[in-house]
Amino acid sequence: MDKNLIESLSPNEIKILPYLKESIEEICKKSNLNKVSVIRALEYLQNKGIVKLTPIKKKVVEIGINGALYKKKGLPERRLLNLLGEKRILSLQEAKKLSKLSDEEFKASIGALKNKALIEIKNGKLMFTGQKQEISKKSLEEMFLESLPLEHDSLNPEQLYALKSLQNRKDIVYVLEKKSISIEITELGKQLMQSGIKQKNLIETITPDMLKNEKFWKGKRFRRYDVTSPVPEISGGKRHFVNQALDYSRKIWTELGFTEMTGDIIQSSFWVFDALFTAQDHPVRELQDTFYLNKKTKLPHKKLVKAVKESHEKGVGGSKGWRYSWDKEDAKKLVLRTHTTCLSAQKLYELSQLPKEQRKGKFFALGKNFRNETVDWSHGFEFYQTEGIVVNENVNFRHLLGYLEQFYKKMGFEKIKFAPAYFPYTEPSVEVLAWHPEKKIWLELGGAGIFRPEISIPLLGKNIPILAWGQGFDRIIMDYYRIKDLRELYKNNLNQLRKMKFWVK
Amino acid sequence: MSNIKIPKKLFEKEIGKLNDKMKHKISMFGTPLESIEENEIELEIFPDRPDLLSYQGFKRGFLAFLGKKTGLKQYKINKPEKDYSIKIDSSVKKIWPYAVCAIVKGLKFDDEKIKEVVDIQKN
Repeated sequence: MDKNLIESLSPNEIKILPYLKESIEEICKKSNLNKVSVIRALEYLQNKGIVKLTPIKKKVVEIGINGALYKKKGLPERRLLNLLGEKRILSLQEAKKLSKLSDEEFKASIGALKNKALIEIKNGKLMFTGQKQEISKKSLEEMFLESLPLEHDSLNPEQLYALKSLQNRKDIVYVLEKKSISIEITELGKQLMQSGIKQKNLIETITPDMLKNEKFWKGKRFRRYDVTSPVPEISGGKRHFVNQALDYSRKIWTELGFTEMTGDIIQSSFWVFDALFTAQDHPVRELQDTFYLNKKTKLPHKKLVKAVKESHEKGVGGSKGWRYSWDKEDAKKLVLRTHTTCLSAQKLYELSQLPKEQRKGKFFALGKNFRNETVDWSHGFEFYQTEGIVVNENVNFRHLLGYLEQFYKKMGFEKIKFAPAYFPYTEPSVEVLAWHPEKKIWLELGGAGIFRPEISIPLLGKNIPILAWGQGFDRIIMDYYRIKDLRELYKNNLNQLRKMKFWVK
Repeated sequence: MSNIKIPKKLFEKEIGKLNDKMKHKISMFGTPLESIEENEIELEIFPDRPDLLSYQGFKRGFLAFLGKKTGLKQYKINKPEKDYSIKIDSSVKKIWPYAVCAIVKGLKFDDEKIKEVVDIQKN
């Protein structure tokens, strides 16, 4: 017998070794270990080639809550039968009262006894019509109930009949699928069991105290450990995969010389809609598209509010406006922002407060937005957007295309094209498309354009070309991580987060 | 967002073959090609171009874009032979403040045309 093998056995493995021929329940009892420890010890033994374990599934019939009660007190039909055996004839009301059965039990009992032709009902009276000796005889159901638990496969036809009749009633019996393990002892295991192992004074674990004094360990024997056996997986901490993608895009914009704009997720309708020339009766402002808070907020500076009002009512920069009466109360309503463009609007107003020569720059934002969408695999109520503006008297449409092309090339898309489009805040407007080499289709990445004068004049005070874009980011993240369902991005499932690869571009 | 459907046969007969070059031209016209089915193609029409909401309007605009038929289209307009009148219930005024009418003659009004008219109204 291999000495190393013997020295590698843990105390629990040695404890269960004599009982390997028994069932797991028996091993637990005899070794005085709980089931988890026994199963773990069995697995260790399997790794050492001492046993072979095969999982088996067994269907077992167990007694239910009512079943246990009836086992003690007798089945309802037994109680009724005993009563009728004594009284012979009883009215239904009397029978129910004397038997002390519930409505449900009473009905079930009458059915059961009628099926066995032991009683009859005539003119509202219950009559015992069977043979006298039938009363003392145990029914199939009673015998079955007393013999539980049983393995389903071992049931005889009479037991199967009893099971079927009891299964129709509430909580008397139920069939469970039990998982169990069959243990097969290998040749090596048989030898080991015969040899009768005794391990003496093996040191199981090393403690700091032990190491301090050599008398604790010198000349002693240690338990052998299998360093090749599998260990639990340890997941290191890492940034959420969505945040990794956002960080990467943040890096790109910064490299291109952009400064980040940040702001609150809760914004006034003024910044989300009015400042961006969205008419107050526009459908996007309705409840079915936007999440409103039950609160209002203050409007920004009077001068700005007046300029926005004028842009809506009469128009600016050659526009005719919406030609309606603008309501400032509507603009005070708080919403969960539906796009990050509200941050661009705020930045433009901020610039307008600076000295003239400082009213320019390149800015980006990355943030979460919310829309009232029915959630499915491709729609969510929350999504990320990457937003940007370039404010400079000397920029034009070609610069816009250049910035976007640079950004998406750095994001990993080789082929970019632009198609004319329409978006409410910009004129001209453009849609960015990127070639997906695997799917062989053009992906629509999002919209861009030059802000309309109805937006730039009230906010910045001057109509200069402001390059602007606000593009969905979720699709790029999904594509990179090969996620098919948008909801996966936001559900924070730990297993998924652990398995997700790092963002490397 | 509004989409229009155009019978593929009609498109190929009156505009041109639907090859890759044509597909590219369609999207560069600002009407993204949503899908191509066996008998039908579907285009997205942006809200700034309601004139493209029927096949006739799309054909007029797109042929000009392709350089095949440029310039404003001339329609021959005659005064009506007699005075026609339309009756509109005053209750409609609030939601439908204006009404304009024309009598079109010599048009074969088949199923396809009816569908087009319905499409415009729907969108």
